[in-house]
Amino acid sequence: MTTNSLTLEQASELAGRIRHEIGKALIGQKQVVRETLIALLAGGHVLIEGVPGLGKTLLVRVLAHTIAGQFARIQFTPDLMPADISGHVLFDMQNQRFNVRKGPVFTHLLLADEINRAPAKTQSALLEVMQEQQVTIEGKAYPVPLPFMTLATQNPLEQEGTYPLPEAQLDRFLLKIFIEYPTLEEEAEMVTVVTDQQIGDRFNLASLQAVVTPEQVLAMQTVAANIAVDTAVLDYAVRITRATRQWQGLRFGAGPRGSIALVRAARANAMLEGRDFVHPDDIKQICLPVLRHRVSLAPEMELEGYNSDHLLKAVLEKTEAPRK
Amino acid sequence: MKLDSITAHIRLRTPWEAADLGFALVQHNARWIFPAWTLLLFSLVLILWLLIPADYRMYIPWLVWWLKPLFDRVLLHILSHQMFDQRLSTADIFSAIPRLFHTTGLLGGLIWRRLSFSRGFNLSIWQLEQLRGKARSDRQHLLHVQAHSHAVWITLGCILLELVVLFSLYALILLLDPTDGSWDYISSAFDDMAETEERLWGTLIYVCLYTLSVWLIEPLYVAASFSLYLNRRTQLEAWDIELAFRNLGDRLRTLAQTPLAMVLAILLIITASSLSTPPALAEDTSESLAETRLPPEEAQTQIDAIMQREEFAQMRTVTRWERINKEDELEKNKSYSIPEALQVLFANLLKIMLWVAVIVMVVLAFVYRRQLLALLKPLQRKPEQKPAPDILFGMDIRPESLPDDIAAASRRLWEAGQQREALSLLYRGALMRLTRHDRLPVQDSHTEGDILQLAAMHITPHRATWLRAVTRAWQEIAYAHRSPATALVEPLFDGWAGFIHVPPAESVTGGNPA
Repeated sequence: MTTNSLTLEQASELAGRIRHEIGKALIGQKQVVRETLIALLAGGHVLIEGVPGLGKTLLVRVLAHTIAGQFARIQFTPDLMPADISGHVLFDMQNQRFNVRKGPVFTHLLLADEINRAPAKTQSALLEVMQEQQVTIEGKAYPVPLPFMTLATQNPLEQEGTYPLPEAQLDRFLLKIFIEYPTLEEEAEMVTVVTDQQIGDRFNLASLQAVVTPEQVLAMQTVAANIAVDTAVLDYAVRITRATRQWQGLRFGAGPRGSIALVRAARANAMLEGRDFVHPDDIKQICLPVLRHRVSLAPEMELEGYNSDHLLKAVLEKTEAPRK
Repeated sequence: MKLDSITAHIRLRTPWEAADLGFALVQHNARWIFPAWTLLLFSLVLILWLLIPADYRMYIPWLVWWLKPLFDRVLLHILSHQMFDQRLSTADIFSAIPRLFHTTGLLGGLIWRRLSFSRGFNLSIWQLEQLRGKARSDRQHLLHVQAHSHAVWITLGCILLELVVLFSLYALILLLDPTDGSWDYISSAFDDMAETEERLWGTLIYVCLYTLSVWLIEPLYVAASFSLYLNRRTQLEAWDIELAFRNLGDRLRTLAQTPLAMVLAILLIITASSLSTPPALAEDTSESLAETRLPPEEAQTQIDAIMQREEFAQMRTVTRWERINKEDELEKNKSYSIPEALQVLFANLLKIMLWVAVIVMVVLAFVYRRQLLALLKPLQRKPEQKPAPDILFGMDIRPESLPDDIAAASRRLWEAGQQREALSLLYRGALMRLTRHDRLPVQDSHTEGDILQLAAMHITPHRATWLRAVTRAWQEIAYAHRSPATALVEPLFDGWAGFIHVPPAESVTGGNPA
């Protein structure tokens, strides 16, 4: 297996191994792992929403460990400054020159914990790096190591004193993933794994293996990008996205970036299944995490207790499947 | 009205005490009341018994019930005279009956006021005060203010007492009857199996017992209502104070006629005037005023000061419901001319009939609730049977658009190099079978994967396996533009016959493959 090019089968098998390895540490949450992997293979970023203590940080650490990549974590707070994220220039008195001190974004996997606790200015510092995969410090662009992926977390509780992410930034995330409480069996197994012969409550990452290298991840991303998408499937993705724009109960729908994200994520989904083409089911399966943060509910629907998933399911039910 | 001659001790009573006074009045004057009352009631029942054909005699108690306002008028006539110590002979009472019928609003009382719950109380206003029209309704409204609810409760209580007496008398007969005849009769009333003679006796007993209960309770009812009315008037017109003053006046008059008493009185007055400097009474006995008349402003100040005292400044808040639309009340109590009365009668009858119909329907709905709910079931549960779609995924899946032997036609197309058309035809055929024969609710929004999921719940595993293979082949050629190998496709053509053959015992969970 060469690093630069992988076949579909190889890429799919590697993805399966990553999933298996993460599954050792993150008990249950199969859907979350799958969707995170889709985002990684599609070269996107994810916004994870869930109450504290469900293993969001563990997921990122394990993923970083599995792909032998670097991992950095930023705890977002109201007084966090943009330079704390991207880095800054310091004058070295000894050498009489300016030195660039790179911020924590220069990593493979960046965990932006509780991203909505920092004000918009600081949140925007992530925009460039998420979109361009580079950081500009003092007018000079510094690329971040690839593959680069941001995993931002949000806590749905304690909304007091938070700064909701602006739509422009939400749009940068490929997927928004909901992480739910594990089932009884999963939780029991998790408690056993974490507490058995362990000091403290941290999962011992030493028991995990790095199954791929960052270069292999890049090669997998290339394989995913080359998955064939028929025009009918493409049309299906676009029709779904466009349907959200006129949908009763949605204040606004997804933009063209939504269609693009749908196809990207569907490609990765097909690759995970070892298929070299995308079919409409890939679009349908990935539709909710791709679009749920790109649409906004009308106030009356929110008052009636609906969420964006309810309306997106209705959109899917009314959108005709591809005509062949 | 001569208050002096009233036989009861007039004082302010509570309404229930007043009702008790009425009962006591009947007990005390029973020998004056009951002879005429008995004669009236029983002679009327006898006349009814003789006039009414045998088949309809069971309705005599209803007639007696309906004619109660007539009896009430006679009873009130007796009681009101008794109250003022006027003893009426039976002849006097009977001779007064025609006048009573004529002057006491009997027609209204028998028709549209028959169901009034304060009928006994209102009767006094009609009969004793002889008020009509607005004056009567104003008066009635005033008297009702604190007595209406008690009047209603007296009516309800007396109805219940009547029923208690009636059933007690029935129970007495059952207890005293050595044979089971009376019990048989009572039970036969429910299955309508009684003999004619037995029925005659049963009706006679029913009439007698009901008449007896009316005979016993009705005087009590009228007396209690009358007494309540007197108490309300005592309350309003201070009869007790008036009587006290009259007694005082009489006593003083008697004293004044005695010379010795007169001397003593003069002595008393002199002594009293010498002891108390300002005389309690002004010399001018026509006006009991202070020696000097205060100017109006000063008098007002003094009045205000007095009104500030505790005994005058007590306030209490009383909350009660008040009719907003009093016009209706006035309208209701208005006296009507005969045509108007007939209209009101008709309207009231219609209203009663409607209410009876509503009650009957509610009872019937409750009795036949199972049947009614069963009627609603198809509406609730019947799912909307959508016709099977003709076009799915842009494919025409009507049976007439497909060849008879789909597998053979597909195979021919495949061999002719038209792979896409061949698989398309096979998949169309499969969809046709699923929607037309297996009745799968396939919608336009369903993708191939959705159909597989849907079908897995309805068809056998064998058929599901074939469908999965066809779907995979179809997806490959449709979305990857890649023809599957002929070796993979051949089993699909061969498996078509197995797919369309549905075993008779196929169930949702699947059975043995065909």
